[in-house]
Amino acid sequence: MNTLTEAHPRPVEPGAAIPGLLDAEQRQRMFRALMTALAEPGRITRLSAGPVPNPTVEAESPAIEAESPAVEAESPAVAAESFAPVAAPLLVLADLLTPVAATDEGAAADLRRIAARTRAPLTRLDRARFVLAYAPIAGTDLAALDAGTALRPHTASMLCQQVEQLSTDPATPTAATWTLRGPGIDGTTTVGVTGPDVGFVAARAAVTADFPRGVDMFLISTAGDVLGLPRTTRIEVTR
Amino acid sequence: MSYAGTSKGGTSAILAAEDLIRVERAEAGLDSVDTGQVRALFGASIDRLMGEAGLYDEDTAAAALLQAGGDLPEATHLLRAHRSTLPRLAVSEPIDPDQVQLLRRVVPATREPEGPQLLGNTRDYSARLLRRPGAPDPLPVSDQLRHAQQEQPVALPHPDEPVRRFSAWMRAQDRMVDRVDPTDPEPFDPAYQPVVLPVSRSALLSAMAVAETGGLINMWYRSILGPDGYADEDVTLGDVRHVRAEVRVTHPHTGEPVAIARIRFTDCEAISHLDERGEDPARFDVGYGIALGHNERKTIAMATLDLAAQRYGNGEEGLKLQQLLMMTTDPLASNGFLEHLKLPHYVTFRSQLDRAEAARQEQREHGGGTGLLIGTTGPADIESADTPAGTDREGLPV
Repeated sequence: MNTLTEAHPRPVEPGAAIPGLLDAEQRQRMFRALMTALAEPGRITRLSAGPVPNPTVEAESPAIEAESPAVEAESPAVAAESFAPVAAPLLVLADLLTPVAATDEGAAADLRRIAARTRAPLTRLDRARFVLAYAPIAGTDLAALDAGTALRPHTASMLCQQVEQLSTDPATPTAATWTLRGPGIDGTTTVGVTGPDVGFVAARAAVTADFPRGVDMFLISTAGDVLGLPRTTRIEVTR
Repeated sequence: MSYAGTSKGGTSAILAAEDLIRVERAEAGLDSVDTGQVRALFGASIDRLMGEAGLYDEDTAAAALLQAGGDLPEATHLLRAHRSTLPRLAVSEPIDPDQVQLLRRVVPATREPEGPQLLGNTRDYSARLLRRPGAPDPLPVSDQLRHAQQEQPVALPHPDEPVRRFSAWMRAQDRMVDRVDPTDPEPFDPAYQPVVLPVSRSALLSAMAVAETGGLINMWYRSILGPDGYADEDVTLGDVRHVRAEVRVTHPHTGEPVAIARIRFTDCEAISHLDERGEDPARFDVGYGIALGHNERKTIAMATLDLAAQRYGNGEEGLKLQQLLMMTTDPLASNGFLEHLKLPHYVTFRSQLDRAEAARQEQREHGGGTGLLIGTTGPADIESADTPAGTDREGLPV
């Protein structure tokens, strides 16, 4: 059984892990946080699932446990399974009808477990509704993501990109500073970001140029901070 | 959480309204009501609610009914919103509506169908005499009546086989129109695909299955006594069933079908003799209605309308019926659009007042005349009119 630290190139900060099994209240709380992040781009919120759910939840499915001894042995580990915060949008939103894909090997390993948990089908990068990226996404991969159509822009993919650090505090040192403007932002707002590579902003601008088509994104740090970037947000690299 | 677009004091008024409900609920002790009680006492409401919301869970439906204070469209809204937050984990195996446990089964078309006429727990034959809780039965059954009727157990010729539907018996007699589509198309789900007419039969059935019960019955009745005339007045019902069935999914590890739930649903078949509309008078046709839980009225209306839709097909009248069934029967859409009228329409109405005033001005300038508007009226016309700033001609504030 993969442990959390084996699967990730960057270790998740303590306390930031998201459990694989979420109860209704946790799902609603995390959904709210993610929706707020997209509604107010530049406002960075910390994702928290709260207390890890009681492992007795595995006792609610005795029929499945009895069917297959392999599943029975796996159950305690399944109940204790947890993921990096960047997986939160998939754990909350992905299901049978939302194909998912990963851009790098580290993400792909965890994606298999996420797919098993959510029943989301694994697919190619250009057909996925949710895309998981641990390492900074390559420009060519970003360009390949499904940006929807003019008639059905909501079918575009959602990128969940792990980053090292996000901050709205000017005193916190980060590799880059972005100025954001657009719907949901009063004038402009500034965020500090460490993680995405130099070409990311330009590559994203190209993918979001053809509104209503475009790709929406969550940048989520290993500490669990979320920056929501809907396709309508314009980013200017100010440092 | 603020409500966008309200004027000063709007948010606090809304919060006060919500507090009123909260206080009423608390005083009535509603938060300590057990959903099991609600299920036992209001089963019919809960079944109707599950069918209109498209979500089968009696406890959740009971909670919605309680929260809505008994208001069914409101409860439907709560359940549909809740349903949209649930992850979709599997698609079930198709349910064979004949592989079911019969809770009730009557066949009005014939006295002795194959299998039983099983009344089940029905009030259909009871006298409608109001009886307050705790009061004695105003029309008690006499001992003589009770002892005179001895129940004869029904002997099923093949007890292990499912009871054959009356329509299947008719089909075996070669009396039915053949409606089987050999291409076996994928079912249309209006929840996931936009509706563009003409639609397939599965789309019509999907829409009607979650239609509002009263709305669908009204549509059926319009066809009988109203000007629409789609449904056949002479329809006879085949099987009317309330059943329990297993829901099976493919097990993710073994790959075998496994039963994960049991649900109740009602289905009904409406049969029409094709002797009046230039069709084959030697044959009959059948329509199908289905609803979650126990809801016979809805399935009877649905079966009759399904039959009508099949018979009209994609001609001009058929398209009208399809539009009625696909676009006007949804409880959330119809109630929601109706209730949206209660939201502020201040700007809308203000602009209508302005246009009416401009029209009146036009009439005055052209000496009364026909009252027809010539060209467009709009802000430019109003500005050129001779009015004091700050008010309009009616003295209404600008």
